[in-house]
Amino acid sequence: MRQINILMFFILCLAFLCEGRVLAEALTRDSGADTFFRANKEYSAGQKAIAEKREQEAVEKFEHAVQLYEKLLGSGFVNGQIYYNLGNAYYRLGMSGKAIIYYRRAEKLLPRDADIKANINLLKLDFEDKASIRQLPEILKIVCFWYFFLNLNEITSITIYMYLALMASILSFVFIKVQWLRNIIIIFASCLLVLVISLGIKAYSQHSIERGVVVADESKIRYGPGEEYEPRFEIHEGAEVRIEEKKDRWYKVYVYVDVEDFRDDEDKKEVEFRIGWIPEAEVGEI
Amino acid sequence: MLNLVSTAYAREIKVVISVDKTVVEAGNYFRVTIGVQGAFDTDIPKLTPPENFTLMYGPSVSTQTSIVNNVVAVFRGFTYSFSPTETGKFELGPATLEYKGNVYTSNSVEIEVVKRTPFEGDVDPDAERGKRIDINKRIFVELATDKKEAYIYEQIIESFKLFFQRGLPIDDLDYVAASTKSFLAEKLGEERRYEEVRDGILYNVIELRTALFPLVSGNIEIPPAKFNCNIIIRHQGFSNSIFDEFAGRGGQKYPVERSTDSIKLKIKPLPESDKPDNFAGTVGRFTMDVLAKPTKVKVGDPITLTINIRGEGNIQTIGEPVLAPGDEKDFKIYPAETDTTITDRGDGIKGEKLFSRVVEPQHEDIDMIPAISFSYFDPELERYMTITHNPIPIVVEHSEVEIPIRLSLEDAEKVKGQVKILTKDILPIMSDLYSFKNQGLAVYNRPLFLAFIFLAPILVVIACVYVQRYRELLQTDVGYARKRRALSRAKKQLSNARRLVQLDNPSEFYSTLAKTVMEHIADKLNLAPASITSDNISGILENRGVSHDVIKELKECLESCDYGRFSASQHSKDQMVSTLDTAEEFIMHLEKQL
Repeated sequence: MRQINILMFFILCLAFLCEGRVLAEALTRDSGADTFFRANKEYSAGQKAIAEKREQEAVEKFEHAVQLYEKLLGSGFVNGQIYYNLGNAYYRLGMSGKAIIYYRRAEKLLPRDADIKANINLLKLDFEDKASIRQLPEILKIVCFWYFFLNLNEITSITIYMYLALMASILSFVFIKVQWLRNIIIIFASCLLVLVISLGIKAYSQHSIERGVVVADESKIRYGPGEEYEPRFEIHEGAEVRIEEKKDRWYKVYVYVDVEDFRDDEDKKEVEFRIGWIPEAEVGEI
Repeated sequence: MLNLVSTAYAREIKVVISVDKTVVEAGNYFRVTIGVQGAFDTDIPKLTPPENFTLMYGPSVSTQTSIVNNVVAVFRGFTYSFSPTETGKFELGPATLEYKGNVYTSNSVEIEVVKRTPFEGDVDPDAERGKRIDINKRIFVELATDKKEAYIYEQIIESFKLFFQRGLPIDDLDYVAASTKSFLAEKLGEERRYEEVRDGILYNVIELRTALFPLVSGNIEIPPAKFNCNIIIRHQGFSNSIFDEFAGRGGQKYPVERSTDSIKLKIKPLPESDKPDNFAGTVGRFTMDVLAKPTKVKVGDPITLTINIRGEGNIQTIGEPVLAPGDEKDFKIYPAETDTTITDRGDGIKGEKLFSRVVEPQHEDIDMIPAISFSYFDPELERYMTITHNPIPIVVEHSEVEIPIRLSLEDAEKVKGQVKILTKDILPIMSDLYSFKNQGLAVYNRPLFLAFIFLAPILVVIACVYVQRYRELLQTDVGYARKRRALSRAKKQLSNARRLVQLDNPSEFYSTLAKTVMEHIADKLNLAPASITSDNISGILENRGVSHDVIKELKECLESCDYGRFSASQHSKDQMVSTLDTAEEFIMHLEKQL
């Protein structure tokens, strides 16, 4: 009886904590939604001003919208829609590099949204540098659809549910030893294994690999971290890079854009030609 | 006020006699419980049993405290065991209790004593029937509703009750609810467990309640609900009644099926007279709150009207309140979003439905939002009710916002064939507030939650594996089961022996004590009780590694018992207590060594 009381107390505490969290979340959501609504309104007003050739007013409206979206993100409220809309606002203000940064952030949270992909592709058409990111085979995207269609949080949630289902079936099997339950356990365990691997890869690619986008109009990639080093090549706004190292306000980056295949040594690999140093201020982190 | 009434009720003293069975065989046992409700510092109630009822033990005292709806209920039970010696019908009780100068009298119970059925080796088909009759009294079900007549959409509380006698080991409970095709059904809270006396017998009751909302009028029948379970019976020889052998562990399962009676309900249609125009089928009792925010806006700016309907009834089907008719050009009105919350499932469905509607004033001359009204049918008052909220004053200011650009289809060129792309532009912004939530609060950012989610099920599984293995061991390994239960059984028998000391019955006492000690040794060593005698017991224990001191204690105890049983001399209570203490010490020492 005492154990049951302790268990009940524990469950009530947990429920109370969850309830409190949900309530706090709801309050934050209301206030966030209000700011988001106002920012969208500013953006729409800017769009209307463009249509009516009132350019100065349009710029003011877009700048105000950017301020509101940034304020919302600064308050700790994160949502794919904010990132996407902010990307649009930056694009309207002529900052395509920043727009790509926010589209990429939106893509992480809303991987199924076609509008984000469409806008990224559209922006890339105007970029000076041609990107050469290796595209994954379409069949892989179909076979591992959950990896490409779900964001990290969704995969985590599904993994938790799968784990709980597995535990529930194991628990049932402790009391009811039937063959079909054994089969269900094997199925759940296999699914869980696949999900855990997917989760690991996704978490690694999103949190361990740092990526960035060039936000300056043009940027020189140098041999070393400093102006005293000779420039190796030049890339332009919107070019995407992988940040490999940080040193004294300089980033060592691997560029995804095509680089002229100039090899002084036949043994050097292509990778080595794509690496160089760029000032921190000229790159925005995704 | 309600609290005061409840408290007063809880302090009322009530004395109730209950028995575990009303028909008992001569020479068999039955239990009587005198329950005192409302006080825990009373004396033992006085009960004068019929002359031919022999007290076997008692009273054993139990106390229960329960808190229901902030009312503390105290129950104290005094349990006796009697064995009738003659057949016939006897009245047991009433019991009387003196408490703080007042005398309280209980009910009385009629006990029918029948002839004892002789034990025979052959299976008697009538005996099987007899068992079923007995089971019928020990477990039965009831289905009831709080009203027999109701209006369509009115809330009816359906209650399914399972009555089973205390101590009856039931398992695999399976409740098949009555079909409620003509109703909307909502489960009410968790199952309720309490005790109830029926025909003098104390039953444990499990109650499941459901709120039903009839969808059609006319005479509707709720078909019977069914209930299946297994009763676990342990078979043993020398049993007077099969149910005296219930042990609840490792016995044979006897399936029991029960079904309730059906219930006939008369569902009346809602009256047509005085039905308000805005009535949308809501039945129950409700209140309405309205909030408009902001109240100072520019032309075309949105005002959110939040209308909260709260009350008792079917919350899901509450119809939308309506705005009083006005000039259509005054406001642009958007469809309402609703949010339903059930706040209470205790004594019926209670909750609230929130309607959030956006209105946009279209010119500066508007100074108020029109009145809002909501109609429902109150089944208790049997009439329609309309709640009206007064118009809400607002201030509308001039706006600089231009009239939105409208695209005219007439102007578009109709081109057949391939479409020519005129411009390339990014796609518009997203404004889906429905899915707008903070995605930064991700599950993978909550390490404590994840640790709990991953560890708790593992611990539960480990605990269940352990419990299941223990249960299987008890069921399959007789020796282990006997050994595990030996101490508790011995303690129980020693407790009986202690009562015999109080009753000053030396011969019975020594006989019980010797039997207790021998049976305990037999249980610990998994031997037949008949195979252990005073002569060979020392050898058996020595072989099992029991120390000489303990064997010496045993011998002393058995010698005292033999002396007490077979000598003609008088035995004092002190001697009996001393022998009892020796036996207890022996059992405790043996427990440590075996």
